[in-house]
Amino acid sequence: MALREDALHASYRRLEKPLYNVLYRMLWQAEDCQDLIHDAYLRIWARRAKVDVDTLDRLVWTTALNLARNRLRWRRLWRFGSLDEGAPLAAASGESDFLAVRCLRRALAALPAASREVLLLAEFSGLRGAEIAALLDIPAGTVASRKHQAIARLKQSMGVNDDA
Amino acid sequence: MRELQHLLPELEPPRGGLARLRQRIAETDSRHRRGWRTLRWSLAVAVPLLVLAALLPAPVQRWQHTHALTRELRAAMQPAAPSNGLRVENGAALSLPSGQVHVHLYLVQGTTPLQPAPGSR
Repeated sequence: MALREDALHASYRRLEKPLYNVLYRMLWQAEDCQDLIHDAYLRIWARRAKVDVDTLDRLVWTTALNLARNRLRWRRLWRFGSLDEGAPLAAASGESDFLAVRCLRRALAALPAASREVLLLAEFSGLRGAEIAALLDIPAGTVASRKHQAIARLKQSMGVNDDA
Repeated sequence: MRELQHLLPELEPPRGGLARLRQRIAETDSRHRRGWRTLRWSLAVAVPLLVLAALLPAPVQRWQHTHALTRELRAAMQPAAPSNGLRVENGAALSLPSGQVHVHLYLVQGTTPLQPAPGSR
């Protein structure tokens, strides 16, 4: 059954925030991030005749993550520097100190891409381990181990104690 | 339960995201429809032109061939100029080889239809 526009909008309402939170920590540009989410939905809308509503959310996640990976590759290729330097993050956390945001950004960037994706999905997507595993096409055990490693490395980089 | 809430606070996406998405979908659909309309018009013009381009050379070539053949035949069928004092009126004469020097053979055809001889059917 073909995808209807109201189903697409409902999915957008459900996933906008989690997608934004995950993708923002990958791209670090608010507008870029929202454009990318819209691009993902537009791509899905373009082939709506073949999209099943039951798998829509998973398809959105897969498409958005692929687009984000492509964007990061493109940036690396052209040595593109982002401009907004985590301003929304600092504003949201109430921090005036941009150094902390930069530090966090560096710590996340230092993580292996696969671990970073698992960590961000586990933190913000609202998906369970098995769902993340299916989304990334990896075993559930790998999701858990990557997440554990990523948290440990992030805490280490940020100088946070385990009991914090 | 999120484990890194203090490190990774949850952010609110920019407002009006859904409205912008709706607008982009509407624009894309409109562009898509315009694209299809342009394509249909282009095809409607291009296909007959292509068909003509493919089919027209054959009749033209046939006509040219027929014309050249007719011209050649006419030239060949021109009556020999009556160099030996013969004059043909209301018709044409074609000199034919007779095989003898002193015998001249002509095929003569009148331009007016022959009247049937009296008594013939």
